[in-house]
Parts: sequence; structure tokens; C-alpha cells
Amino acid sequence: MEFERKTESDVDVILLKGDMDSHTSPKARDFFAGILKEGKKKIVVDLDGVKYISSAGLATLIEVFQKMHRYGGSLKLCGMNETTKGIFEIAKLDSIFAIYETKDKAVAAFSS
Amino acid sequence: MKTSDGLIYLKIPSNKFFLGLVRKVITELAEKMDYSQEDIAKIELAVDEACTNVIQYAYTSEEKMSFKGGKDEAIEIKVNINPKRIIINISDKGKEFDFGSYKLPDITAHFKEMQIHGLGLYIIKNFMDEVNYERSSDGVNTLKLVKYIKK
Repeated sequence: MEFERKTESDVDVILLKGDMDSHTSPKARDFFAGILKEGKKKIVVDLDGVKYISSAGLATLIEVFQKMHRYGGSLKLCGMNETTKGIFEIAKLDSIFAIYETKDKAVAAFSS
Repeated sequence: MKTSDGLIYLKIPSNKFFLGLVRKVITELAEKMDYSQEDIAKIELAVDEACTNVIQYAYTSEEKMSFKGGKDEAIEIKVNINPKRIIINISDKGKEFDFGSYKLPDITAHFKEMQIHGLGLYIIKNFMDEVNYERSSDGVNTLKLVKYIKK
């Protein structure tokens, strides 16, 4: 997996690239652990570059969501393909995560 | 495709490194059949989750992180296809799985408690048409996954 990080106004935007399965997810978990240590409160995770996600990938995102929630941070997701959306629905995670079509909408949601 | 059944056989070490390879083989097969893109994605995910469960829970040897897997720690994937359906048998010689007492988790409650174990099987059961587990007398676990082609 590859990770790109940039800041838009006061929001950290993380672009994930590659398959998120049980082999690659530990790498993503380590990457996010570094960001959460900084206590970032506004994070958008853009899944546009993720063509495949398994339950291990979901678990990683759930962990990030919960850790941020504990210190008063907020996570928003965007850029999901149809398959990924379907997996979120089946796992009933679509009602728990804040999900947006595009990165711009997700970033804008922080200031609305 | 011919009307007779086709059999594809794949054997991998118990190591997550090979999950991508398994997914490629399974999706390429499914793409040659008449499955929708949505169903191909479901089959791909179900097989990944099943193999991941074997690696994480059935086999516990520390050697599993090597490319060879531990002693006898292999996963056998037998795929039987015909124009109506795909059957994928995933076998291992690891610990027995108490499939009978497995209940689909309350995902929302799981989420709150940060317990996400069991999500893989939940996905498998939701995405495949038939899911059966058997353990043979000589200690081979087999998870059978079936997906029919929608007409």
C-alpha cells in the first residue's frame, strides 16, 4: 500500500493506494498510528486509489475512527467505488462512518 | 464454456502474502463466466476472507510468517466451475472451527466494543449462496462456498 498526505486548510487528507487486505492492512495501521500520535482532529481518508478492501481493511478504518473519537477527533471517508460501498453496507458501517462522494465534499463538511 | 465441469486446483503456503495471487486467479476465472461485476467482487472477497481466517485462526505456528508456511501449513483451494455456478472448496489441516455455534454477529454492537472478529465470516455468509463447513476424520477442514450465476 502507498499513502499520500496533504493538508487542505486545517484538514489532513490521506490518500490510500492499493489493495487493503489482511496482508497490507498492518502497514496502513502503522501509518495511521503515526498520524494519530499527532492528535489530528480532522482527517479525511480518500479511498479513490483502493480498488479492493477486505474486513481487515475495514477493521483498520474502524480502529482509526474509534481512536480519533476518543480524543475528540473526527474521521470522514470519501472516494469509495461501488464494491467498497457495498461492503460498508453489508457490514452496516455506512451508518456509522461519515461517507462522502468526493474529497472536496468531505473536506467542505468540516467547515459546514 | 463447455458444459462439463472444470476443476482448478491451487495450493498456497499459509501466508497472507499469497492472498493477492489467490484473488487474481479467482477473479479471472469468475470473469470468464457470466457473473456480474458485483458478484465477481463478492466471490473475490469471500475467498480472501476464508483464506485469511485459515491463516489467522486455523494455523498458529510462528513459522507461518515465512514464505514456506509452517510444517504442513498449506491451504488447498479447489474450484469447480460449470455454466450454472462456481464451487470453491478451501481446505486446511489446522484447528477445527466451531462452525455450528457461530452466530452472525450484531455488527453494530461489535463495532461499539471494538470487536471486529467474525466480520470475515459474516461477509462470506452474506456474499455467497451456500456456505458449508466440514472436518474430516483425518483432520482436514473444508469450507465450501457456492455462488450461482443469476439469469
